[in-house]
Amino acid sequence: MKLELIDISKKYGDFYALKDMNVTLENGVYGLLGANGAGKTTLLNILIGVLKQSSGRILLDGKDVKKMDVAYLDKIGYLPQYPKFYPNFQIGEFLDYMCCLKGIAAKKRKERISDVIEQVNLTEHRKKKIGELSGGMRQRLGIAQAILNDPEILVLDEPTAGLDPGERIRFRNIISRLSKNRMVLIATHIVPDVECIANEILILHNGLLVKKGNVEELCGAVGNTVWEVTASDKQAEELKDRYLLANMKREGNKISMRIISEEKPSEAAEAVKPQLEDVFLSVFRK
Amino acid sequence: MLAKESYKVFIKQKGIFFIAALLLLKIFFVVHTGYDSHFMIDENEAYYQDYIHKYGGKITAQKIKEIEAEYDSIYHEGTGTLAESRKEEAFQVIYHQYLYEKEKGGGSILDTRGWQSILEHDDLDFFLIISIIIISCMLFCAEYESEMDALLLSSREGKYHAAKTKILIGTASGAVLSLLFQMVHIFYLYAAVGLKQGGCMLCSLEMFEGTRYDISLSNAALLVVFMRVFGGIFLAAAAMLLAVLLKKKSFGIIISFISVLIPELLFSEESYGYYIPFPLGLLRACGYLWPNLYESAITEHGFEKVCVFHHIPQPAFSGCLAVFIAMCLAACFLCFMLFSKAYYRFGGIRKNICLALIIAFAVFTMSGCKAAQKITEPVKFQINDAERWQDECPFEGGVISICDEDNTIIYTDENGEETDLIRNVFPLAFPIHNIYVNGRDCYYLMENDSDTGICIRKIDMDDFSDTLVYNSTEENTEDFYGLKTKRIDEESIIDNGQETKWFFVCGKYIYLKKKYYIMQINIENGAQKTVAENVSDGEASYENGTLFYLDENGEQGVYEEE
Amino acid sequence: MKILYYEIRKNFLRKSIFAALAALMFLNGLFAYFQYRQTGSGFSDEMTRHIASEGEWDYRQKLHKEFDGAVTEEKVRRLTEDYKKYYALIKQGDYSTEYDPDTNTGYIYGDFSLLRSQFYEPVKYLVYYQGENDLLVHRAKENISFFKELGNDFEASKNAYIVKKYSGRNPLLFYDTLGWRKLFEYDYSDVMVFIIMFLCITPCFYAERKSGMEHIILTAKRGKRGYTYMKYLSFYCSAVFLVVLFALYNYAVMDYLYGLSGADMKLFSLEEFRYTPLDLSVSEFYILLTALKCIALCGIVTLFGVIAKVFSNVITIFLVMFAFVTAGLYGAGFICAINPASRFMALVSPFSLLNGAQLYKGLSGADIAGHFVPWLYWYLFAQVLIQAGIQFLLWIYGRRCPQGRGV
Repeated sequence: MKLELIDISKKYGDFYALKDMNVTLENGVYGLLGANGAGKTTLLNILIGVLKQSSGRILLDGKDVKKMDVAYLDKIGYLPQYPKFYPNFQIGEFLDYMCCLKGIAAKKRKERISDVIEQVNLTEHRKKKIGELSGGMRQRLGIAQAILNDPEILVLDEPTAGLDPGERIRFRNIISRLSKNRMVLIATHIVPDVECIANEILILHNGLLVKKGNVEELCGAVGNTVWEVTASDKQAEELKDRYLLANMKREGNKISMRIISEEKPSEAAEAVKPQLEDVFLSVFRK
Repeated sequence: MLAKESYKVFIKQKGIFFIAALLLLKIFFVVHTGYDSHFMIDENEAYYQDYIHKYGGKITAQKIKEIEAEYDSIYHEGTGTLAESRKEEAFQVIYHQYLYEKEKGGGSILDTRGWQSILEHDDLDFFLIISIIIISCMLFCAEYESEMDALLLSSREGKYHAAKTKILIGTASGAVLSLLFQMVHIFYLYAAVGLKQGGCMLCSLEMFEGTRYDISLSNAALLVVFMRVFGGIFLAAAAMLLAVLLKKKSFGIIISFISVLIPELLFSEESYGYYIPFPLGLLRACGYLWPNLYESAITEHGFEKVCVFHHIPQPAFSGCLAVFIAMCLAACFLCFMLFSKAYYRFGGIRKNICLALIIAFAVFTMSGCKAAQKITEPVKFQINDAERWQDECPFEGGVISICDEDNTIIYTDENGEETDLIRNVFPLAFPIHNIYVNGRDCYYLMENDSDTGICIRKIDMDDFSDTLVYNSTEENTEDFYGLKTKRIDEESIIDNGQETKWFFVCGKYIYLKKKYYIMQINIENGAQKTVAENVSDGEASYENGTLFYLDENGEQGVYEEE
Repeated sequence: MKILYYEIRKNFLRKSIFAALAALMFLNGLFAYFQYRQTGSGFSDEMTRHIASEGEWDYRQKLHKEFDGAVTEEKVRRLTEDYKKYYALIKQGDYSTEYDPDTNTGYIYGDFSLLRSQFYEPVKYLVYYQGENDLLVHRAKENISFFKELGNDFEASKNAYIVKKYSGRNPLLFYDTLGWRKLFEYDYSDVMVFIIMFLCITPCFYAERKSGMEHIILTAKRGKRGYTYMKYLSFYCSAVFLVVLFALYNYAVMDYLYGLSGADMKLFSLEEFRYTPLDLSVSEFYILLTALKCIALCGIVTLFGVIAKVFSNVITIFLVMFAFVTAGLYGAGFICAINPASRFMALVSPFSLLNGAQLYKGLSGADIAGHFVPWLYWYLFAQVLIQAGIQFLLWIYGRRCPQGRGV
């Protein structure tokens, strides 16, 4: 399966929320990274058909999705940002309703609901009302409703926002399991969430796609620009002002710093292997 | 999908509870307001029903003979007993109807009360309106407020099917609720006064004299029901469109409500309300069948009639109906397009919709009103002067009497010196009709000619303090910004006033006689009880808790207090 | 005070509210205009530019120019002469009903009718008023000694009050009173204010909850106790602002439609107010009515706020507020009732003070230990008491409620 975005732009007056986005997506997990306001949610909304692009086309296996209409929606599973759903619905009830919306045959609903609930580990909470669920459980429910129709394209908007570390790990594992024979697009600004599971990373900045590639490629592009150095307070202040700081940690009287820079920041600095976060920072520094 | 959406709105969002509460209020309101009636029928129900049983239906030659014979019997051969006079009053109503039906009406005699209650009132049912608006707003605003709209729009059935289902539920709810609320009223009327002789022509009702609609009463009622059902659908469609545009329940509900309330306030007694492109006309409905309506008064010019309601011609009615249908369909279509964002296919139209709505509203509401037209006609006018009771009472060698001219009570002592008992320097609200003196207390009863209520006050002859004993006159002046005030028939104002023949106060009770019955009123809690019926204008006395009176046949009746 | 500003900013200074306000002000003007167009139709003697013919209007304006202002003997004499002249023609009944270009309105009866209804009768009322009023005061003076002898202190006090308030009245100015009457009667703007307050107050509390701001406020120093009172204060400020805004707007609209001449005219120059205890001019009375409306609205919005807090469902809030307004208006309808039970309903209804004009058409009061106390003071006292009671309960609940935020 191939999803092509061709010259996708979204304009509000003179302001471009997205500009000339050209990308081809296939099966696998894609991490859509960007700061707040980069255009992630805009892109996702255009993808799922909720927002109309100002220009450009989206082709799924060569067919324009606009012409496909509901046939295209059949292939979509979507988890919105901070979902509230219906607080007074039970989990089973709500999934049954979503089955209706997704056109799942009545005969198959019960089985399908049980299946997805099990996949997201919500079986014992089936009778609970949505309003009583914790944030993590609600996100898992969001995943469950998104995969009800066994979509080929799974779109997740900030799925780990507000989750504790345990929930985030659990979530990553679920996504990894689901990503077989499927395109999963995860929009987030939390880098570690996609670093471990994404096959490819798309970095958006001010509505533009600035970087695209797998983790190794992206990290390789900023190779020899990431340094670690231990310095005194005074030196640390100087280094902080002069260079892009990725991390700073106090160790007794000294400060251990991780710096991103083309040149070696100090004699004592050692080059280290870059991580995705470093790539992220280097993009947004520019 | 239909079942799911219905379950969502009626059960999960508790729509059914709101409807049930409003329906209960409607039932209470219907029972409280009652039905159209005539005081002559109310007072002589049994005699009236006898006559309806005898003469009801088509006026045949045989019936004409019988009615004329009854007329002669009552007016020329009567014995003057109370029973006879009550029968005469009941017959008056029948005879009046007979004369009208023979010359101008549908040619049938029938009990018109139920039909009048349905066809002669175009009041809005606010309970119905609120329930329709609530359901309509809940259908769409809930999705926006819970942010489920994106999920719906990104799902196969949710994008179009859910929107269509919601619109179907909304419009169906509008229709069903309208039917339900009307059925409450109709069932009440059927149970209270019956809805017989539905096959008689619409012009059998005097108000419809000269109507252009050659249909039966039942067909007219059915038409009104259907129009209001359509009005419910139209209102639901409009409310849903507003809900989709505004996206918030609070705004949706209030804007929808005032879109019905404001035109109703503006055009409460005008026929223009039936033309404007709002659901108002259909929700009222009856006015589409009405002929020209007039108000009359005697002025210096003589008898004058002013047209207060212009009939709506049939072509205009058909035109309005077509426009309403088109608007309803347009509202549903726009609602669908906006919710499912199907307009992405056709380009953005939201701003144009709002602009078009504003312009349409402005054009139609600024169409203005015509000045009333005056028509002068000759008139005959006659008044009967009822016999006055309790005009004066003896007191300590003197006399306490009513001074009609100054509307006050004067005590004239044995030397002829006059003292005003009512020391209030301001004029009284109502004329004084009766006085009753007991010991050193002088009670006086005031009543308004247009009100069935009375006001009894007591003057303590020791210190001349004037205190209220009992008041049942209509004191509430609130008209709810013009919504409560409706056309009042002058004849009914005059006819409804019943003069109190006599009254007295003993302990915690007031006894008073009105026409044919004696009523007992508990001063403490205001409870009223009819203690004797068919009471004639003869002597009456009270002693030690026992009341003696003369009944309609001239025999003594007794009532003993519990 | 900055908190007050921010509360107003949050709840009222919003685009949607401004849009609603603009739309409702337009509708208010529309109502006034429709009412104006209906004035004088049917059998009414009222005359407006819209209903009158050109001849009638010119004649009317000419007469107003001649007779407006101080009621002098000369004016009365001229008016009476004109009236008698027409009356003599009309009395016989054989006057011409044909169009007569020599008359002012085009018809003899038209001239007579206009002169009689618009000038003669009103001036006659003003001329006789002093005499009738003096008689009333004289009777009241007699009553004082009468009741004192009998030991009826209340009646003596009441009549003394009458003497104090009604003595020396002489309505010396004549102007067209139609505009003022319409202005005092006009109450559709109250509906507009209710609608705006509903839109503002309904989301006031549940929006805080929904957006998560409620917890943030609760953890702030002033948030825990005083914040709620600032909300109510913001309601009061907005209600007063809206009442004053609509009062000014109504004044401008009525002036434009009917003309509001003679602002110094005494209130009792209007026949409906012949027995009013107030010795104010019509403009001063309008200011008093506006002030009473402000007090009424403060009471109403307090209860709106309580309803908005207690119920979180918008529909329930709407239904409860609707029921409250209906019941409150109904209770207020008893403002001039004599039944104690009906009076009590009017006393507790915060809507009563919206009917200030009704209250001042006559004199009524209650007996307090032998003293006459007018009902207005009772209404004000009752409302202040009720509002104080509600605020006290809010405070108690605020202290006891675990959230500490109060209602």
